[in-house]
Amino acid sequence: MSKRWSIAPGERLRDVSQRMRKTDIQIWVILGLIAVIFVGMSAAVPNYASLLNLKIMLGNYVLEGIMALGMTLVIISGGIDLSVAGVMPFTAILFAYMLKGGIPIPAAMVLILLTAAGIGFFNDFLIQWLDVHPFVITLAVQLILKGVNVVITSGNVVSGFPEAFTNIMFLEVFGLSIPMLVLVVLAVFYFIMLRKNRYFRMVYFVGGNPTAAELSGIHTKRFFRFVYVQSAVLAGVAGIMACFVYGSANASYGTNIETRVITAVAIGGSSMIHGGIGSIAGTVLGLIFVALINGSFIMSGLSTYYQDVVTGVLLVFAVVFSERLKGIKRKT
Amino acid sequence: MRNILEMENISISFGGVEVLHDVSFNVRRGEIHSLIGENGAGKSTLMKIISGVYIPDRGTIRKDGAQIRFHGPLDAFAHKIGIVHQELSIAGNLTVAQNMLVGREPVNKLGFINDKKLLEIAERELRELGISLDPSVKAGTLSVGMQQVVEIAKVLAKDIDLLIMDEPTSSLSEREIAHLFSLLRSIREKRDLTVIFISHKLSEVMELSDRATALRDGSMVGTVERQDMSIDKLISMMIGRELDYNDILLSSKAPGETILSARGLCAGKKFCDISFDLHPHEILGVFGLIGAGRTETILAMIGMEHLESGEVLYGGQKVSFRSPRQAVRSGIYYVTENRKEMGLFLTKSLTDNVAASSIKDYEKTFGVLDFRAMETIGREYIQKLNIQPPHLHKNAVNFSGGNQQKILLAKSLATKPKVLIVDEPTRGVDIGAKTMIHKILRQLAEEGMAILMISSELPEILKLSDRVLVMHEGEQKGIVANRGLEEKDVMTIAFNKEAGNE
Amino acid sequence: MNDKRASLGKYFDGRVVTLVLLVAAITILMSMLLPGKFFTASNFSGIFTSLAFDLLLSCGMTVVLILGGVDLSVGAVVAFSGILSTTLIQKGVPVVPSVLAAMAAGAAVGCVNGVLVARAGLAPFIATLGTNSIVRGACYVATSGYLISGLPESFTNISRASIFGVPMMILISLLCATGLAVCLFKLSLFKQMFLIGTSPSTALLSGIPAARLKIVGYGISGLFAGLTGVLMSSRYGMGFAGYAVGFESRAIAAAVIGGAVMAGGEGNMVGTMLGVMVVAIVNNAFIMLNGPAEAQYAISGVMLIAALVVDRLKGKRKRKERV
Repeated sequence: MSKRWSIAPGERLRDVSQRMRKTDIQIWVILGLIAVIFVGMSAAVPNYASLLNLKIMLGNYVLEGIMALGMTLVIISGGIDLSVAGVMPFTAILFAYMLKGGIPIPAAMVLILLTAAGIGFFNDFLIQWLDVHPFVITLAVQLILKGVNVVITSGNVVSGFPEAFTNIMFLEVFGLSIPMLVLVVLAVFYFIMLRKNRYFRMVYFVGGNPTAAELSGIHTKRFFRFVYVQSAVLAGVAGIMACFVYGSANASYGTNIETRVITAVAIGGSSMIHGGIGSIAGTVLGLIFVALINGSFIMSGLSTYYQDVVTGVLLVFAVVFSERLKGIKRKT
Repeated sequence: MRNILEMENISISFGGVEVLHDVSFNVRRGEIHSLIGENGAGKSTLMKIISGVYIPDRGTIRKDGAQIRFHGPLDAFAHKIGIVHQELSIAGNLTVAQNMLVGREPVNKLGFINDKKLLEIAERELRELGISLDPSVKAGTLSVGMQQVVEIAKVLAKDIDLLIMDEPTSSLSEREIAHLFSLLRSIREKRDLTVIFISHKLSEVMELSDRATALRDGSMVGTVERQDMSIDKLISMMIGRELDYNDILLSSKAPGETILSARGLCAGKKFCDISFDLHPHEILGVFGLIGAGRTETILAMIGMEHLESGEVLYGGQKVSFRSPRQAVRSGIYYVTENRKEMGLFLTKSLTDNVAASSIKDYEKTFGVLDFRAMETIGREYIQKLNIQPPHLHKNAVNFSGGNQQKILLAKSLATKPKVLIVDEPTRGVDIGAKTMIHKILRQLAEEGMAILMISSELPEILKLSDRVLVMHEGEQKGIVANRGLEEKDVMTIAFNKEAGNE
Repeated sequence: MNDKRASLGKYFDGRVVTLVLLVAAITILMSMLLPGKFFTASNFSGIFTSLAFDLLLSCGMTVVLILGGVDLSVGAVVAFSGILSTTLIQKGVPVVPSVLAAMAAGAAVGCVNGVLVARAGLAPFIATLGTNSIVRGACYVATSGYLISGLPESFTNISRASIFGVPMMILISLLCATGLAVCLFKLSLFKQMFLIGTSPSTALLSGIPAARLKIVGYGISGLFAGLTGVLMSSRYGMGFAGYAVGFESRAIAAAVIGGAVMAGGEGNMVGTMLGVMVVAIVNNAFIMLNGPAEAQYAISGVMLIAALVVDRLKGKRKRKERV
């Protein structure tokens, strides 16, 4: 016991509590697993480690990646946002219609992001007003949007973009497609913001202990609104990017995407039981991990249908084991 | 000496129940003033009024002679009042510096935090407070005690002259407490600081405070100066209720064969080396103040909490229950002190509540419930315990506190337990129901039940217990037979170093 | 002492009356708007056919909601059980064992959910979101997305045959719902589930085997989903991995409309049956008024929120009354 009180700088390493050390362990474990998969698959499958293949494997998860950044904030704040699986295709369809309707690309993008922000605002309003768990509300909103998507497209694929768009669709910058570039830029942005920005960083306080955060002078209600709005906005960005990726928009985009997004975040070490824990670096690693695993399945010649099975298994395992690892038990 | 804070005739009610009644309370500039009282006495409510979380229904608050009005918790800092809450608000993922400066980080125009400057500021502030701690350490890696210190530093770094600490020592070890106290004293020497210290640990109050004020059942009992302070005095202020000795209800029967024994039960800091024997026909009172580890000991015995060492014998057999269910099924029933959250199914009917634990008794073939049998048992206990109003289908939430307690008791009795453990059986219960519950407990014992009664109310202990087990801060201080036992005898046992066994 | 009135009253409280009135009002309104089209035997048989599956899933969901949980995996389990039963039959296994195996498999998935929630301590929506993904994925892996058809009449007749002109699947679902309604009311098992949902910690201290009953509850939800899968593939004459997508939300909506509470401890089958009825009639009315059929999901989403809003407004009033 006395050790805890001797706080000379040299001694603090000994005091590192279990939980913190093990959060870092999770990141190292994931890194290790990524390395193992990578080495193993490169040995087993020719061309696995080729740049092209890596780009394809990660490219398959670019939309998930963008949404996972927003979801990380939501989960650290202690909530969940299932509506992204409705917002993404919704905004993709809307964007496609806008372009076909002759609205200039930048204007269309702004309108889309505003629409998405509105949906996030609506999510937050209902969560706070109805005082039920966010998953219920965001599930209902997801469902509404999915219905709307089918109705406005009559189930058809929206394609035939104007030339202004098709010209930039396949642009590559620094060898990266535009969606990939957006993901990288956003990931860097979120990484920096969550570490450096005063406002973003509040999420750790708000998620860890909302009451205490309120008492330390943080407007938690306003902050939760920000959290759900930014998640929806990123789903909107993903929607726009879906048009870049597929060259069309379709109501069936985003089936089960919320599970893949949540899985990446959970693998990255964000706590699904208590808020206040998680990081962008973890989420990015989680995303790479999921992308590599699924890519490996596909490379092994197995059906792409394995993706959902693998994702579900990873989600359950990630949550069970990372909570065990952190030694977080249900409050007694 | 001028008063920094004056509160006059403060009253506040929640849902028609008056929680604070006409409380007047003064704090002198520069003193450490302790606020003591049992759970539910109104300490925390009063603290929340001082910090602007609750707005009182009546009464005035003056700070430095000027009347102040709060509009919300954020106003407190404007009045130079800082609070360290019982619950920590530390974000473990962030460093000590980041935690300390939350909401006032040095930022550039874009809202980006200058981490170097942040570290410097935190370092300086810690140095000024005389805390030797590296501010670049992640807060989650610190012990709870150190996190508490960070919390205090976080509050003191703001421009405040009145610091309120709500049970800051509840999760600290003795060394950590000693460190905290010396820190508080040294800070007070360096700057103008007044401290309101809320605690139920009287030894700490004695050690630290210049004055102490006691609250009981939402009313002021009085304030004592340091020179008049004694543990006895504080206790009588906190819990002193008159005992009517005509009322004493002791066993008229010889205790039977030992039915339940504890042998050297330990669980870390919570309690250690607890041993006792319980017999049919007797009520063994377990006395101790909050934090004595009474409830924790029992919960460990019935498999609700972890037991590190020691053994439990039931009917001569060694048992280790893995869940309360096993205890209930073998005839040991624990009646919780937390009636609303762990005792009753508030939104279910009286019948459902009474029958909940003994539900197997009302099953016919294929697990079909015999409603008539359930209602019969409900009716039986309405009569036996005089539950008012006698409505079988009224939801538990709609009964008064005393009747809720009776329903809770009925639920346990319906399982026909051999050992009944009641925890604060009359908390928040009116006088009439209290007398009734006491009579019932004694009658059950006379009929052959073994009863263990946990209580922090001494008169209740002295009135009902055949023997008294005294606990204090996790230690068993002794077991004495109640033969003309008086309050001060029990107090002596509780606070004296040497244990007095029977 | 007041007595039977109170216990019966549970089933005929304000909500049930409101729902009956709501159903009646929509029916009358629609009959006036579309004379001779809405209030016809054929339209109503259509409504009942469409609600048979929802009703079965809502049965299981009601049980899980009573426990204070939720089951997002039911839609996937429907597809899974459909594929399992049809595959077995195609492989030459007799119909009865195939059907039983499919239902057992559904119950098993439910029990896995229960174990994840009650023993591993996962939040119900996370655990069931995970199994949903696994089971749905497994369906696609097993079938590669192809239909499993060519089934004998002895199988397709489970749903299609009719007794006194009422299709079997409607009879089966009504029978199950009524049976569960009686069981919820009568059985000790469900009484204990109500208590667990009302206050888990009280249940624990009262000696109620909470973990075990939670596993049973999720198992029941899986069992109903398994039965739904059999009936659905029997009705459509094939097994398909894409069955019942989004049905879980409709089931939640129907149960919540019927009086179940997300926080647990409340719920009854009479309410849920009416909730399913409301969802089906509103859906039907919407389509009859030339609304797009694809709007179904949106309608159930809107109705879920609407049910929560009504609860909220009612809850507010109640809280004030109590204080």
